[in-house]
Amino acid sequence: MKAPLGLFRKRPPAGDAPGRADDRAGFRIRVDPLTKARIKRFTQIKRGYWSFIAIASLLALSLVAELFVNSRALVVSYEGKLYFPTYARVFLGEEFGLDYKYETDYRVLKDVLKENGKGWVILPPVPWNAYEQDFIEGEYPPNPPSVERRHFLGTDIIGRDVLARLLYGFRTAILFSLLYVGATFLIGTVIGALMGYWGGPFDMVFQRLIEIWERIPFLYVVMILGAIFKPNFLLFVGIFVIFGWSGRTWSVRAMTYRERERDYILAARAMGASTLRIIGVHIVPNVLVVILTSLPFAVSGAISSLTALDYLGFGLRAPTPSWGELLSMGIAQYEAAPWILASIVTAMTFVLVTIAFVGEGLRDAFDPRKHTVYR
Amino acid sequence: MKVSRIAKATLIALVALFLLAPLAAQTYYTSKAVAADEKALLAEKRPDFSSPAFVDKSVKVAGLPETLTWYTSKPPVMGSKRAKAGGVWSGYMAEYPTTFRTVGPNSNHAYRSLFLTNVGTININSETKEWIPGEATHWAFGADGKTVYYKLNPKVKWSDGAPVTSKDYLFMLEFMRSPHIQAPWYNNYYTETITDIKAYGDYVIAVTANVAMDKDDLLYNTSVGPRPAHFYGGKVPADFVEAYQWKAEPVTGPYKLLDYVKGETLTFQKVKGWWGHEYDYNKYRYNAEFLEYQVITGGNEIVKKYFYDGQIDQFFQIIPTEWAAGESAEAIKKGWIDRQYHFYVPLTGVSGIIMNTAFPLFADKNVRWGMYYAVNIQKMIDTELRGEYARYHNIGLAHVFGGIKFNAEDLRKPDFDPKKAGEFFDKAGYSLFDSDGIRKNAAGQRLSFELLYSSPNHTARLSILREEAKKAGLDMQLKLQQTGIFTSILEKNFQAWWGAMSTGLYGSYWQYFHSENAKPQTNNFWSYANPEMDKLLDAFEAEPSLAKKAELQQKIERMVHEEALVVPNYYVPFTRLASWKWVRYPAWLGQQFDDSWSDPINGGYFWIDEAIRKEVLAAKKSGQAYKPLLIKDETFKAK
Repeated sequence: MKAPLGLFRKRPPAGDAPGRADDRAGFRIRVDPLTKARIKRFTQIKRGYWSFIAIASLLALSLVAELFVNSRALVVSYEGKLYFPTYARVFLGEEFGLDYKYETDYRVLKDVLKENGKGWVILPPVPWNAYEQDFIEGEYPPNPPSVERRHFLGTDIIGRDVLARLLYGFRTAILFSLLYVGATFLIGTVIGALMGYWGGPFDMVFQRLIEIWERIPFLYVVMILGAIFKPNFLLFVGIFVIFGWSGRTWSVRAMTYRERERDYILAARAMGASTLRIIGVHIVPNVLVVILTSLPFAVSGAISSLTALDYLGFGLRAPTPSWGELLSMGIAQYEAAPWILASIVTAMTFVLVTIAFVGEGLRDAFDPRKHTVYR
Repeated sequence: MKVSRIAKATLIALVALFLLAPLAAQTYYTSKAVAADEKALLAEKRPDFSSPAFVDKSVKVAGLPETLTWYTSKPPVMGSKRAKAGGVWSGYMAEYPTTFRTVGPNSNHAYRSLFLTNVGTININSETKEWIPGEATHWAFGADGKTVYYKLNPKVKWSDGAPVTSKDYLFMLEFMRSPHIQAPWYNNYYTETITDIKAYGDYVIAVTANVAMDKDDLLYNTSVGPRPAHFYGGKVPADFVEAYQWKAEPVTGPYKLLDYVKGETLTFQKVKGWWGHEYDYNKYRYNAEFLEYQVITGGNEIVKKYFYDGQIDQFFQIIPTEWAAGESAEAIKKGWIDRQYHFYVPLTGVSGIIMNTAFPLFADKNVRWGMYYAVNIQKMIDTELRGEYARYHNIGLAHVFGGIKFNAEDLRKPDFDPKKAGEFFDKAGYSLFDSDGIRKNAAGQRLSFELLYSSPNHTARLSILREEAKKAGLDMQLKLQQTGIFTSILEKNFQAWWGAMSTGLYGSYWQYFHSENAKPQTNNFWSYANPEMDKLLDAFEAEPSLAKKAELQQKIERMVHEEALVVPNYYVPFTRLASWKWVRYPAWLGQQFDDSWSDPINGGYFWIDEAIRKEVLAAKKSGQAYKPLLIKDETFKAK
């Protein structure tokens, strides 16, 4: 493919009064032409681009999963009043004229209201949450997919909806890995850049520190901490970040080492720029390529790690929906309930491959050979 | 040739009928030896296993310090007359034994009993819990209420051929008291509880306990076994622990260690001309000539593969999903593998949700009573456990001993009822609702606790309880801790524990509920202290009469029910397994209190039919299907 090199060489038109659009709006930050070229190129790599769209919309969808896959009704009209239970507090059964003091079963309420004519209920397309169990009289879960009962992917071994667990499990996994990757890259880049820029004793101390740090057996630490503390989502992110940042420093450090010897850095230094400015404004944007292109692979790596931990039983506390749990259940039950394994394997493959495609696209789009003016 | 349409259709129908006929008629393959034994199986009736003790006036022993009344009993034939001797049985071990010694460091491993296949001085009938003779034929009680005299059977021989005499009992006491065995618990028991053993000639001994006890208790405590004095050269070796690490002691039981490959296999052989067949109750038992154990690591799924591959003979299918999965296994559908299903009354101790009263929430009796109604055990049994386990209502089951029933058998826990639970939680002050539907009190404390459990395959069961508890406004957090859970429990560092404890012939509740134990590192998991309970427990401990002990035990159980200290869960009222067809069983499988009938050494009722093995292997090779066979004994199924 031909790279739009022209864009890079073109200078912005001079004297285009009264200034360019972003200046008029008061923006100082503008997308520089190189980045523009990269984004354009990324959108031209169809596989990566559509994968990005897919994974982004899946993420967006999972963030509002409660609207699609949930036991709570979207809207309840009861005695002339409207209720929106999805994101509200729990409505007890007696509030809708039922005879119990626990969360309303909206699936039953729908039928009840239809009969007594006191209102109506709109349920989400999959009216099950990830925790409740659906036991069918005379049968034992896992139950195969059923459109009639709205278990589109069947149920797991205790009658929970597989689709619900898959979707909420995805949300946990992707949020986890985004948080993890974000935090580790931030810490890793800052420390790596400082190591590379300052060099000397600072570099030496951190190198040795990281070498020691990376020798600590991660799985044991997770097991021990999981036994001491309640293994909740944030604790897990925390543990992963504590042990994950060090690996991110090496490439940034190496890149910084190279960049700091370049003339433009010398020039900036000569002009009296502070360390913070040199790293923030000059070095980081130039090493960003390394970070950005490895990002998607780090995300899919984190999803796999969390799944592996859950699979081994050291993950988030039951009954939190998780892919690892579904995977281990699916493997144990693959003869009796092939739909569990099929669902989870398809979902995992789709998500991991999609993220890998995004990564591939990014790498191509950022490939310096496509843009550089040096030949 | 022109064939009319009707003729064509008829022809097709006929051909189809001809092809389908064998399927419709369900004709199964069978073979000679199988057919013969299955016919005999159908005719077999469950015998009467009872063996009441009686006074044997014919026994006179001279030279004893007191005149004695000698008791014995004559248990009937307990094995099946269909049994055939010989053959090889293949089993497995989940791990290799850490030592062949049966006392001393590391000897308390799962396969210890393989090296201690002794018959026992006298034994307990698994059907009636009556005493039956073993290495001793008769027993008699001394006037002091502490001494039991045993008349040994002169025919008893060690597996190496040496006779068993009273010297071996005297040696046993010396052995068990020796510091060289490095077993403080035994050192203590054989000093504190067994205070003396005296020999009167070669075949009479007197064993004395520390305190006067009820007769059955006394027999239970004093029926100690011999140790082979000749094997150790008459004295306890100073280097016993190291020198005997991989040496198997001679035994009085039916099997002795023949060969082993360290880390891999153990092979046992039937003792030639075993003396035990003298007794009727040992006839037609311990039939296999060789027992081969191989190490199979990697858990139940791997063991299952070995089993269906025909490398091991038996495979337990206790868990409901495992049993259900068996239905669809090819070898079972084709009848190469039979299944055995036996109901019995399992000896059960405390089991269920144990609530730590040191945790503020459970200090309130109303909350604990609310738990009775808020924990839906029945739904868990009906769904995840497929209605197969039995609901448990008490803290003890099958405590039957000396003809006395110790349990308050009429105790019943209420059914799940969120409304009733709500009433109790209201009384405890948890009458407000948080935004997620969980109850809280005026101070904002939520009705929430952590349930500690150790087995990952219980997660599914507990998830059902958790979802149901929400209906009572109760938040049950599941806390899985796979290792070191008992340390947390002993430290009382938990809120509620999904656990179970084993039990003895009758309850031993002092350790659980006495205020003296309401401190860390004891078995009072509840941190429970109540002077009234203490009174009952002290009285129970001091009481020598079993009948009165039983009354007290029932009172204690009622008080535990009233105080709502445990939400009992379930017990497994059966043993069931799948066995390759050449492993044959009596029609009645096992006895009322017997869970080890399928074991070659502890039960020994099955036999290996090598003729059937040949037939089944041939049928398997050619794909012939026998009629699937399930032997089910429901004599002791709870109503």
